[in-house]
Amino acid sequence: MKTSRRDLLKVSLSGAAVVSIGSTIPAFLTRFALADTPATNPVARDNILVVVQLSGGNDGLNTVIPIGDDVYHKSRQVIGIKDRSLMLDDTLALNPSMTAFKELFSQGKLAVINGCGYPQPNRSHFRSMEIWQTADPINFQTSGWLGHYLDHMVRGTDQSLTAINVGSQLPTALVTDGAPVPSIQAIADFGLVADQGIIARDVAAENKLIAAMNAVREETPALQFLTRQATNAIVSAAEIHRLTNNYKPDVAYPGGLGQSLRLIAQLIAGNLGTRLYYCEIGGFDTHSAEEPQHSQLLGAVASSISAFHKDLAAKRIDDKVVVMCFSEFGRRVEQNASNGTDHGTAAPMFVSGGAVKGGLYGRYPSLADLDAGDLKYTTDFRRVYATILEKWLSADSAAVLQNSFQPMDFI
Amino acid sequence: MANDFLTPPENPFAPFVPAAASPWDKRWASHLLRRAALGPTSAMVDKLTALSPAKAVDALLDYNPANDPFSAELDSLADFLTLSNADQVQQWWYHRMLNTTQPAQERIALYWHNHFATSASKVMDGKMLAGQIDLFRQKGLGSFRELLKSVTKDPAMLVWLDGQTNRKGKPNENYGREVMELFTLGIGHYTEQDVKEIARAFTGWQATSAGVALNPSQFDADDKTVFGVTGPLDADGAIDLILQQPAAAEHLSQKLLRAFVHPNPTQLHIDYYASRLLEHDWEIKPVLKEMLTSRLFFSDWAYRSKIKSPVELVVGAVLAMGGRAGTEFVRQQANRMGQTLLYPPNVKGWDGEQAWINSNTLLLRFNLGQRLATPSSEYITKPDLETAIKTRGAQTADEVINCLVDLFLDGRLDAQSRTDLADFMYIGPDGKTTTFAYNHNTYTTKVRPVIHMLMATPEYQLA
Repeated sequence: MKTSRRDLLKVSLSGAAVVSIGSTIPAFLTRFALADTPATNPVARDNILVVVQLSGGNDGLNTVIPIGDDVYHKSRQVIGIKDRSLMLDDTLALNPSMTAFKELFSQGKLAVINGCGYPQPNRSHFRSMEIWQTADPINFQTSGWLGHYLDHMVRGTDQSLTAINVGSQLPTALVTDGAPVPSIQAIADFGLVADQGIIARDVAAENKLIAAMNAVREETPALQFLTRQATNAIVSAAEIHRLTNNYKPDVAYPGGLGQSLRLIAQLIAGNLGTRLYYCEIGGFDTHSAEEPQHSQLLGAVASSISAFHKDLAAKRIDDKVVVMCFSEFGRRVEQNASNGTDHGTAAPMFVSGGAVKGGLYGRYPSLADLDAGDLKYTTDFRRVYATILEKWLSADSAAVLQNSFQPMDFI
Repeated sequence: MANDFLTPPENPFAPFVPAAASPWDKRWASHLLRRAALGPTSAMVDKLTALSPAKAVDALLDYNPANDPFSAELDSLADFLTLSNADQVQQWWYHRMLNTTQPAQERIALYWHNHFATSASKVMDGKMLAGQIDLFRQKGLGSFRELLKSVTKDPAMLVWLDGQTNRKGKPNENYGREVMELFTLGIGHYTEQDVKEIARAFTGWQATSAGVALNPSQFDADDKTVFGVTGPLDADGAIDLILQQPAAAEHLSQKLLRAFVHPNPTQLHIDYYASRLLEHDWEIKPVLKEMLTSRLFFSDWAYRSKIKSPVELVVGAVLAMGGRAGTEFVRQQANRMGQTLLYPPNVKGWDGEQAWINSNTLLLRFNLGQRLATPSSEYITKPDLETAIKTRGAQTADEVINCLVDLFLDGRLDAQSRTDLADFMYIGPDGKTTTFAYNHNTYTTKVRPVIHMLMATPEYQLA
């Protein structure tokens, strides 16, 4: 028996007829509300990871500064930072623009993992980013570490919104062997766009007609598949927009990265069942005139991530979300002739959130023991991934990373 | 009674003969243009419907590969295009697709780009990739054997599957494995030992700035044993040996059927076209012509059975609307919908069909009509559909709908949707039914939304 196209339209979201379209029940209807799962469970199934990629190679030495080290100041006569206002311990200071991160650190919500890198570092932006995103410094991989996670761990479930990239192009990290991960640039794009120059009544009529023409049909396998997907998408989009309307940020977000994180907070608050979010901020390739642009970038990163946590905390879901921040490489110890820095190696990573055990992790690389002018990494970045996979996403990290790495204690 | 949409036709391999119940018309010409070219335009539909089905297929596939209408233009653009940049190679390819007089040639190149999926993510050099795509344009309808031998020594492929580092005494098995697993036989039709041995046959081929050549000192001339045959196999010999395997013709037959006819061909269909490939000694064109003129191809079962790739969707829409759009706009639309040309996700190529569709990509596809029909303040050329409708003399709501359904949906849309669309056009600003007359104002307020709606139908997503 065929469901009438027109009848289906009349059905409200929660009605029984949605159930009658079986596998197309929008994901958010089938999942538990976040609040239903005890936040104390360290490997709850609804834990969320947000990855913030700092593109261009972040100068780790001017981010977490070895401010007590003379070699640092001698190597960076012009761009070296002397401001000791944000000390993390006796020897390390945060870049003075990162007051928001110092606050998180003091609250025990920010883990700083020093000296992250990998063997035989590659100084190509492209290749090194690929290494970080595929978690494989040796072989070329076409799918990413988070893609592996999705393939291994989420197989068989409705993957439609299991991960969302905020941006225009999907990073390799999220490339799966299975269903592609959607990229959303703006919620406005995720839905039927209204034609310009038409009145509101016609917009509504148009949306209704598009839904009607896509109501579930079963004449052919292709039409059945498409109309189910379309019904799901239109309902999901409408739901996301409804949630967007309800969402009120509890803090003011900065522009740029802040807006990406605001969108992610919106989606998280909408309880879509999404486990992974990914976003990016560029501009870290500071070959010349590094200051003050680099400090400004770091300030934006810190204030954006801090705003994100505050917003989530106000909504009582900050314990469900961990943010991981990385860049493809750090920069050389010695500043260059243009008052900038060239491509280098190891740098700190940041992991933050209500469930994170804040503090300093990993040994800070020695500035006295360099490898051709570059820092020697002290922590393989894949240990950070393994920690998040094991302790936060309840995944077998050895299966996902195709290699075994010892988890750390920051979660 | 059998459902024609779910069951392949009887006597599937006989040539399609138009009849009263299934005339040679807009529907079938558009179907052919979607599968064998880049989509229907009214001019192409008119041209093909004036011919017989077989002559229409000839008209598409009998292009002269040596005649590249773009080579002079490419030279003239030398100062503007940087082909080492893969993004610009993408734009150049879109430019060709939107302007070519030989759309089947680009279609065939797209097919092989997916078959021999090579990505700029590793090859890096856009020029190498542009060269590989040109190889597909040149040899794509010739002998599969020759094509495969050329691809084996293609610079981009040598980089992509590590032929560059496949040397005597230090074999790299990447190409040896993929050439059997993905390009010719399929998994299960060779052993791990065959992979090890055949990799040695491909040693020594290296791409340098001077071109591709066999470096004799890096070629392993010793005996190899592949498929139980022992000898001092070289690259061409290895290809010949692979193509002697019974699985080879079946593998290619299935891939051709999936790409050009139906996502789920039956074993009967696969076996038949496998035998035709062998009969024609691996010549692609005669086999493809047989396929594209068959009752199988012109069947309800095959019609709208496939899901358009993003490239097919976007390029097809622009062509249907008159062919003018900025290549950067076209490129970005397709990329966002999940198909970045020259960046296939892996050596398997794009999975295609249902894998194109998720909530986000489907909504992006649904909004394509809105984006194309909306004039933009950006420096983007957009199709001028307003004039196109005017030149067709459409005045009433029904005439405008007919015109657009002809352009986008082979003239086929159910009566209920037609009524709903017309009702939409008749509703005035006060919510009351009024009259409709086509003019600049109603184009903006009523016709543009109808274009958006027609391109957001499930049928429009289908090839």
